[in-house]
Amino acid sequence: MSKANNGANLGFESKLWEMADKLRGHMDASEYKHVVLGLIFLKYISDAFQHKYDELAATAETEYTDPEDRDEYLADNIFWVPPEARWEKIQAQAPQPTIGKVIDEAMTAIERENPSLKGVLPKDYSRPTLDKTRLGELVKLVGDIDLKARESGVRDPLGRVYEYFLGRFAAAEGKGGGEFYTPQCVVQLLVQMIEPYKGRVYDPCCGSGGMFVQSEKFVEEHGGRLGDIAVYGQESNPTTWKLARMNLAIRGIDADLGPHQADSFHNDLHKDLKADYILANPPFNMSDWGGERLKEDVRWKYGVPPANNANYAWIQHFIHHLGPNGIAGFVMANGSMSTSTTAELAIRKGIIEDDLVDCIIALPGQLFYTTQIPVCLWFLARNKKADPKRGYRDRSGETLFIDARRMGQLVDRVHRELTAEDIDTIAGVYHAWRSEGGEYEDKPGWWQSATLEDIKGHGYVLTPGRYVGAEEQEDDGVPFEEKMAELTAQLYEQFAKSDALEATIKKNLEVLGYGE
Amino acid sequence: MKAVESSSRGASESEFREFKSGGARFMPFDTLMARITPCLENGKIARYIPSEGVDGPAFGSTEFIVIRGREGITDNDYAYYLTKWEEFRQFAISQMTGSSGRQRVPADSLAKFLAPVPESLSEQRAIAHILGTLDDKIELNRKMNETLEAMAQALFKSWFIDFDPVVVNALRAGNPVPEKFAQRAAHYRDNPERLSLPADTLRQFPDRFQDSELGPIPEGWNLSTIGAEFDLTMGQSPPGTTYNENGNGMPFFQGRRDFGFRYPSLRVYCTSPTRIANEDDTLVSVRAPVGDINMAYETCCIGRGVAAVRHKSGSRSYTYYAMQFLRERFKRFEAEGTVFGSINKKQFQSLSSMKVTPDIITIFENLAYPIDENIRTNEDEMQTLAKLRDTLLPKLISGELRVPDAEKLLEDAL
Repeated sequence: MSKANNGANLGFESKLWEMADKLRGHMDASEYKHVVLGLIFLKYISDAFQHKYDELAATAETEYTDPEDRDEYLADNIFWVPPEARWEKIQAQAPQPTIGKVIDEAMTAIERENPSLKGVLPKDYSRPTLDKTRLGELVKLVGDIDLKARESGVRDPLGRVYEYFLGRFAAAEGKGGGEFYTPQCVVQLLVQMIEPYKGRVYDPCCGSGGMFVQSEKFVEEHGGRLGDIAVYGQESNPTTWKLARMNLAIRGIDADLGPHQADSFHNDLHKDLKADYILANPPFNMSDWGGERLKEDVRWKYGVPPANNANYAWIQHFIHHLGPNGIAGFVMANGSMSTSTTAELAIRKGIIEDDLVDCIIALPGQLFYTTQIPVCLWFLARNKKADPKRGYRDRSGETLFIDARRMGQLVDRVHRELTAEDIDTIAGVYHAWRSEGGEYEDKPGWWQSATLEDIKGHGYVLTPGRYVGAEEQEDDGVPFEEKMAELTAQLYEQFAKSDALEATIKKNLEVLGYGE
Repeated sequence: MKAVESSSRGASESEFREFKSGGARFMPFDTLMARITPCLENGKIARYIPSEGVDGPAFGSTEFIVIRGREGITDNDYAYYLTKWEEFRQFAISQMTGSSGRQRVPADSLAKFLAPVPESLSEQRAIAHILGTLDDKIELNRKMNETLEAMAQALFKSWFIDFDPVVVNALRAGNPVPEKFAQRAAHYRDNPERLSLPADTLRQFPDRFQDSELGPIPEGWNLSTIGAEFDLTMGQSPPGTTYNENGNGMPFFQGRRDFGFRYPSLRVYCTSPTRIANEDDTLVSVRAPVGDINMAYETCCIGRGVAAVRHKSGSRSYTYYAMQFLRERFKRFEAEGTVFGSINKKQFQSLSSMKVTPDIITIFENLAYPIDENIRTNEDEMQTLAKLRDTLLPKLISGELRVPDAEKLLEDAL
């Protein structure tokens, strides 16, 4: 994966961000987010429409195509944009004080014409608290994205900008905010590890839908067809759910996020789903998940998770939805690997003894905007037997531990990112370990393949540090004798200096009248 | 700012960056004084000592005030000691302005400070020379201690990690040397005398390797655990009401916060100690982060962040260096615990260790302990020198104590 895909390194996006952020004024980032992202979305569907419109208009004479025939658009999975909602109309009115009302009407018209977007678009641009001069300038800025992108030679600029802005908003909201966003490098690592080429992909806490955007990207990059993946998601926060709908629509991904937002624990919208791949980043150590109202559930196969921490509720929810050959990769707080509270230890023990744990990765700290705590990745495989079709070897009773805590680099004072090379290295090790005939080798201090017995020996603790051992000490190459000779010479020199200094100090004290 | 310490004299570069604008500009050997809360109150004053190959101007944070002697009027070294004078610092603190949290002292208000500067440049130089030699000696002791510790470490590594004496013995006896030590074996094959150990010391080492779970080890030395080879005291924190910073009771170390190069610095005391570390016990931090090593200077009380370790034979130096070489393994416990890393007694005790023949430990101890004693003496001397400097400084700077015959003193010194 090229470095440019890492999002933050594109230049034109960050310039755009700076400009957009200037227009934010005194508004909270969490509120402004919906204003900006809504506009980008509007621009996007209007552009897609216009593109098709021009095509149809060009062939109107020869093939009698009608650019105002909405069926032409539906056939191509393009949203029909009624005349009053088209971007040029909106931009033409940007300097007017009524711009808020114009946008609201455009959003309403699009929702009316496209039932699949019902209730998704923001429609409160005319509220008095939104400064109309700034809004007008913002409209102009979004209108120029294409121009800026063409200068930088970027394809799919609006999708990129949407995702980049999501990330920047997550950063701007900082602690307590940004929960809708998983850092791109973490998503890339998860995706590259489990390779969701085709089948049903599921994320029961999908946030703004980043996991899917990344996996579709992956499929495209590897020559598969977008239609090979069926995407299922669920999100409990209503505004985040809307962000996700837009995020997926902007990428042309047809996903089933359920008819509305809902809590995966208490209102599972995909009850019968058995997924081939699960990708997820559930909230860390969520304490008020309503566990006391859910003591008995078909999902608690390994035991009832504690009411004060949802980690093991999530893990069991994933396992429940995993198909017979399914693989799940998800982010967890580090405590999940070693917690020894009775309920959680019993669940972990059950999962380990059922041989579901395929791989565990300890990640460096400071990867997330929302929290500084170090986190890890879990990979569970329903079936670890040989799978010649996918080229997997029989890994029954084996688990791969990777300690990646020393990887990544700081992008600013408090945030770290895994580099493309780090991601390739980690995923490469896992693939070599998992494949039939793969050239895998343990590397002390970094990765180690362990057996069920080893894990039992460590009291069912899954912390990679326990298994990978110490890194082989880089010898400084200087044989003992040479080192000693060097140190001795140094010491004698210091002794001599010390003697001279001592004499001088004594003399100075004498001069001051404090002789021995 | 981080590079400026209150206790030592030199500040070195923390990074090299392209200079844009703003910030303080200073020359080698200028005095840098922090102007902001709480660095000023803590006495963060240092001189810029450039590293080798760097001699141009340097740039720093806007939170420094740069002080330099004026050509022909004040000596640059003297200027440094003037800023170290308590009265100067108190004056600076009194001039601080700004809102309560982040107060700063404006550079121009410092200019109003009236100081009794000796008119003769040579008297200024003599004062700076007298104080400077004390600081030089402190710095030299610090370097000497680093050299001494490196020597003991090299010896420990050669004997107990690389098994050099066993390799030499195996070569002499014609026994096979494991692949892992092939490079060392090649080094000694033609010239076994390269390892200049007395014959009777060398004889104490085995001449054969055996296999173990952790690779080849000398025959007769067995894999063991920390728990079996060392006595381990895990700290326990006494109630907070028994802590004080007035020197009442026993020195108390809650965690690694006060750890230094070898000995932790004294700050907190406790009147009802619960867990005790003895003089020369090795102290290991067991929480956040795990694995920092220090030595107990005297009997002290240890809190829950610290463990005291001593080899069952009572060996002080052997314990200290053995723990240092375990550091990598301690670091593995960093990822455990949700917020910060920690290691509990059971985990600590079950770390693997080697059971070495008692005679060899004794020989090592006889070689390493004098080195460690020298380090301790140097540390003691540094304390005395610092006290002496701090006692002389106000007297010399205020003019209460004059340097007779300053010219001659300087001449002799050169």
